[in-house]
Amino acid sequence: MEAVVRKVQQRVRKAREEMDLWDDLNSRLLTKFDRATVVIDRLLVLGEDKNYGALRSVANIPEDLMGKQIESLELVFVSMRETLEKLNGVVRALNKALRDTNQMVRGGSALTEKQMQLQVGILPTIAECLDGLQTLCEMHQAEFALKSSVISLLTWKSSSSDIAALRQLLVDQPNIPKDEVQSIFNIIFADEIC
Amino acid sequence: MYSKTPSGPGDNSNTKSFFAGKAMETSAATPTSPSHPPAASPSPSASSLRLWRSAAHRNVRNQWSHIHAAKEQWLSAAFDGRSHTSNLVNAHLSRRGMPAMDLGVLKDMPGIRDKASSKLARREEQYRDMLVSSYKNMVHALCCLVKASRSMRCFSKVSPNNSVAQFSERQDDLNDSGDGGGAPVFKWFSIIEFESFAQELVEMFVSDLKLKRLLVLELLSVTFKEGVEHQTLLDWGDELYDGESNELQSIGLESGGTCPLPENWCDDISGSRRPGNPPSYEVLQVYLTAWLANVNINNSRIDEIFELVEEEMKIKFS
Repeated sequence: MEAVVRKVQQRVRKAREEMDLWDDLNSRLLTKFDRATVVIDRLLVLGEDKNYGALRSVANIPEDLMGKQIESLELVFVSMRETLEKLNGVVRALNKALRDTNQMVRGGSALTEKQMQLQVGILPTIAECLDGLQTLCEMHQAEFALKSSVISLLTWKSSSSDIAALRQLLVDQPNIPKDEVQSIFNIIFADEIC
Repeated sequence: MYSKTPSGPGDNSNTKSFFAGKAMETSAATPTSPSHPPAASPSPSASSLRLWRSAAHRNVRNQWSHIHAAKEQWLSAAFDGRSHTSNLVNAHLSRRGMPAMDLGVLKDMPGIRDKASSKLARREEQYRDMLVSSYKNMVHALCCLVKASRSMRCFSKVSPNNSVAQFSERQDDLNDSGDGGGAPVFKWFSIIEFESFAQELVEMFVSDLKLKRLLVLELLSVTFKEGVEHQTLLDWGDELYDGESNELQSIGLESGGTCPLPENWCDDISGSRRPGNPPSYEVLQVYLTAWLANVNINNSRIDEIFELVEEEMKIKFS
């Protein structure tokens, strides 16, 4: 029995690595978001004739500058979507870990409900591990959906207060409460903590 | 566009007529090519063409690797200039804001504002110098670029005993246009085509350099320099560093001691700049954007040109 629990823990450990990757990707997403914000702020300034000073004598400069800035904004958007796609990859990997673990304990020589609930010493029960993993999957799935809509709401017309609110959502990750994640890991890796 | 005409030395009749036709067509199309009548430009014989081609290979390759290096140098100088520009603007704005700045508990320290201001002013001066030196590097890179773009041709050298065919960058014989009669140098592109790619690059960098020159001029005019603060506006005709006009002259950007304003710019360039009226924060931000955007540089076109050239020569520059 203990061997099965160890195997399940091993899967969850893999899942935790995926979550580290998630954090890394999220901070990259934030950097890109900030870069986009800088360009959007600039576009506002570039939109007014009076801000051109000596450049007013240069033909077509407002159009050229705006064009270049919108072009680089587009590039940032593309790169944000790439990062989003990688976050989606993390969600898929977590779901796969859940499916595989389920398969391991339920498929083949399926464990009985009693075995699932069996607690060996300080080790978690298998049911606890599966529940925890499932919760983690759901959190990330929901958070991914939120991030996708945040990114699609950011345009060059966004006001600075909207942008600030959107950014806060990316930072907070409301669907992945840190303390809840921590308590899931505390249960699953109870034997490692003490 | 480029027909696959055999150009090996074995197929004489075919190549000759192709070259002659090509030469006529291009000399009519590009005003830069020598305008002697096509009849006076004899199609080179197969053997002399072979010799010319091996010399031309070496030369064109060299010139393009110069062009590539100059492009990199220009872009990296522009990139350095970008951080100097923003540092300069920041120091300038801080100094301007110093009298009104809320210093909190420090406000009672004797002479604190003056000290801070003079420190910022010193920093402003440093950044000015760094900006000018970046601009200088850009001019220098552009000179290399222009020089290489004009050195594509490979002329036969008239040697006294005529024993060995030699080639040089100098035109000895007026009938020799140095382009191998319009023959492809490697596979498809003739000298004229290589020249026109290079020219396209030159035009991009020239127009962006002019814009950046205006920005440097403007920033030097508004920021602090000991003794002359806000008193003298620099003029478009002023030299930004010693020897600038010589360098600009050497690439034909300046004539008769002044750098002409780009054609499509308004004449009242000084009219839009008034002394004693420092540009607003927003204006400075537009200046910074204009610098970093490399407005006149079309990166994808540059990459495309280098890809074509690399593919043609079967070499990689980077």
